[in-house]
Parts: sequence; structure tokens; C-alpha cells
Amino acid sequence: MTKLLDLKTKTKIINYLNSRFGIDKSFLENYMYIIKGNSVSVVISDKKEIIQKMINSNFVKNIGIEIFSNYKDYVPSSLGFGIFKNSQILNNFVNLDRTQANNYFKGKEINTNDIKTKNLLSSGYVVCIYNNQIIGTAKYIKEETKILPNLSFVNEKIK
Amino acid sequence: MALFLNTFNKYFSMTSVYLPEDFKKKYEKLLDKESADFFESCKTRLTKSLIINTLKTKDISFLKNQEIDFEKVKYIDNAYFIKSEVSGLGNTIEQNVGLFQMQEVSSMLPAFVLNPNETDIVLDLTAAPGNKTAILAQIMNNRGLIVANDVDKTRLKTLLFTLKKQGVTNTIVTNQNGITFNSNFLFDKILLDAPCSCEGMIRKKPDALKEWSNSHVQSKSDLQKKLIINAIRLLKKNGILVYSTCTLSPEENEEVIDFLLKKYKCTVEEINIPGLICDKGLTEYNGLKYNPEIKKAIRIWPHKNNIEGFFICKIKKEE
Repeated sequence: MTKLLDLKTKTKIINYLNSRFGIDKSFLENYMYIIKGNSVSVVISDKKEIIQKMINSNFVKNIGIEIFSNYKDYVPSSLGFGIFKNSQILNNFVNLDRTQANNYFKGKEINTNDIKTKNLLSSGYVVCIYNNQIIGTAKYIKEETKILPNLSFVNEKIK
Repeated sequence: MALFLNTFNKYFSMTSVYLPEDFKKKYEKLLDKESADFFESCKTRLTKSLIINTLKTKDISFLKNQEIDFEKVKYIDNAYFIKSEVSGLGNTIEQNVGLFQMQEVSSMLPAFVLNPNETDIVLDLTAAPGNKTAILAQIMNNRGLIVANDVDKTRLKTLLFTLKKQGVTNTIVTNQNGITFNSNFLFDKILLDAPCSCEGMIRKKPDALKEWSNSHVQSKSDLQKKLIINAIRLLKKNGILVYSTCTLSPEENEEVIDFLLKKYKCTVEEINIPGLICDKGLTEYNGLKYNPEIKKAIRIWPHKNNIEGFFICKIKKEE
């Protein structure tokens, strides 16, 4: 069932995005947060009343864009993170070169020692940037100095 | 050598297309002397084109870094013809993250003709595969609201993927039959890019006319009339409806608009696209007279612009 995210969980998600990636809270407040199962999507809140009217309609198949495929474990949607600008990501990101970016889309792990520009504070999900564009997210394992591409993007393509 | 290259290029830009006899007869009658040029253009391969996704970037330097020869489309901001593609653009990082979308130029136009603003509530009644919806979102800077609807559940998946990849955050996707689509609110603007006999697509899909027959055209026309009547019902007073098809049959274009104008009080608005060669909508065809307002619609012929054939009409609902 699709519904508006309760205020407590919404705040938790905004706080997570702010503390992990440094995304400005006021930007995140521009959106309505929609939950369906474990998936959380955002939709611009300009037409709040209309969205609220439609939310329970049987005909509605999707609202906005998914940013977490599993909000409980904070598993981000690689495509969804494309709504952010690279300049909004202050922490936990890697700047990939073209070869690394191509490898990312092939699902290959990348050694973080080979990445020239990065800001990796702790293990967990990080944002991958190529040529000033967010291309997706990856799981960073600090002890193993590697990132594993979050393949939801590829899976979505195959669906 | 030059002669060889010219012959080579001409040969490989030509495609083997199927043009049914009745189709030829129809367009010989409609176009008279121009019909030869039209049939010739049907056999010429379509130049690929793309539009930059301004929700993500306005910088086209990535295009310059690819080994491709591109040319700006004069009448659409951020659109480019791909003249000669050396390495495939379709599988680049930039394509994967939605910095641009490959799309035929004619089919970009209806969204620009509708030209929604950032506060509008917009309905895209037959939205899949979503390229036009994505352009609408770009024009609106991801503000306001778009309801993107399609009846086909399979095509809905493509629509969803397109919107996700393009970073569209102002859209609700619905799955209703366009003929019976219902809503408890009205829309400021509606795009009806109606399902059609796809005559204009022949340069992209040489077998596009495989299913073509006069009765096929008539069955599409019947469907389009039902769709446009429902679309106008869903529109606010003074709201704008853009009706478009990628076909050139008057039965699917002017006849549909004429049908609407007989039932609802609407006016047809002028469409001005500087740099594009457009014919006016027909006011007479096959012994039938259409509402004179319809001449404000535009017909885009492939032999005049070297793009896909298209029809676009902009309608204002008066009451």
C-alpha cells in the first residue's frame, strides 16, 4: 500500500541524508516522502493536495522517484540519487575516472586506493560521481579498501 | 573517388520500405506533384537525434568528447542531429545516467507546443515510453505536477524507467484507459499524443506500414475521437490541449479535431516554430469540409524538413 511517510520516519531519513552525505536539509524538505513496502520515493510537493487525493487510487502505479529501495537499511536507489547535484554531496563520495565509471556500470568492484578524489568517512553507501554527474551509489567496505557498485540500476534495466 | 563516395552514401542512406498501393494512391491525390518527393523521402533513412536533459545538465561538452558529428536543431533548444556516429552513443555513461535521450525531432515538438509552466497540473494521457513526459518535466523545471498515464502495462515499465533515469520528480504515473480516464480534479494542460497508424515513422521503421489499410486508419480515427473527447472533458476552462500524431492521414488528424470542434466550444491556437517548414492543417479533404480554424494546426512533411512526418494542433477549451 502506498502512503505518505509519517513525520518521524521522514525526519529520520532527512537526518540520514544530511549526516551521511551532507545534503542540505532545506533542499530535502521540498519533497513529499512516499512509502510503498520498504521503498521510499520523493515527489516535489508543489501540488500537495492533489497528490494526497491521488495517493490511494488503484490506478496510481508510481509517485515521484524512488530514493531508497529499502529505507530500513538505508539502501539507496542508484537512479534515484540522480536527483541530487554533485555539489550537494559533501561527504562519502568518490570521483571516478572514465575507466572506473565504465567498470562501475559493469558491476566491477573498484579499489579505493586507485580513486584519486574521494571523501570516504566510514563504511556504508557512498555516491559515485563521474565528470560532475552522479552516476549511482556503491557500498564502501573500509577494511577491504573497495567499493561495490549498487547494481539496482542494472537490475532496473533488465526488468 | 568523390563520385564513388556520393553513390556509396546515397545507397546506404536509402532503405527498402513497404508502401501499400492504397497508401500511394492516397498521397498522390493529396500531394499531387509533391507526392514523388514524399515517397522518395520515405525511402531515406532518418537522421538520428537527441535532446539534452536539462534537469541534469546544460553542458554539452560530453558530446564534443564523443567521436560524433552533431548539428544543432535550429528550432528546438538543446536538441541535436547526430550526423555521423562513430561509436554508439546508446551505451555511454552519459546515456546510462540520463544526460540526454535519443528521440526523433518531430516527437519532441508537442511538449514544446504545450509549453507548461512551473505551476501547472498537466496530464500526458498516452505517455509511454515517456520521452515527451520527460521533456514536459524539463520545461517545468521539475515543478508543478504531471500525471503520466498509459493503458499498456508493459509500456508502463518503460515509462517508469525513462522518468527515473531522467530524474523526473514531479510525476505521478497512472494506468488507465485514456478513453475512460477519470479524475476528481481538472488539468491546466493536456498532451494527447494519440496512438495512430504511424505513417510518419516509415523512415525509422521501414515496415511501419505493414498493417496499413484504409480501414486500419479509420479504426485509429475512431479511437482518437474517443480519446480527444475524454481529454477535453478533463481540461479546465481556458486550458490548453495539444493533440499530436506521427501520422499524416487527415482522418486521424483534421477529422478528429473537426469532430471535437463540433461537440465542444473550443478554439484552435496558432503554432509558431521559427525555422521549421510547416503546412497548414487541411480544411477540406475527400469532399469533406472541416472547420476553418483547423488551418492553424501544423502538418510536418518528411520531404520538407528531413524529419519524421507529424501533425500537431493546439486547442483552447472555451467552456
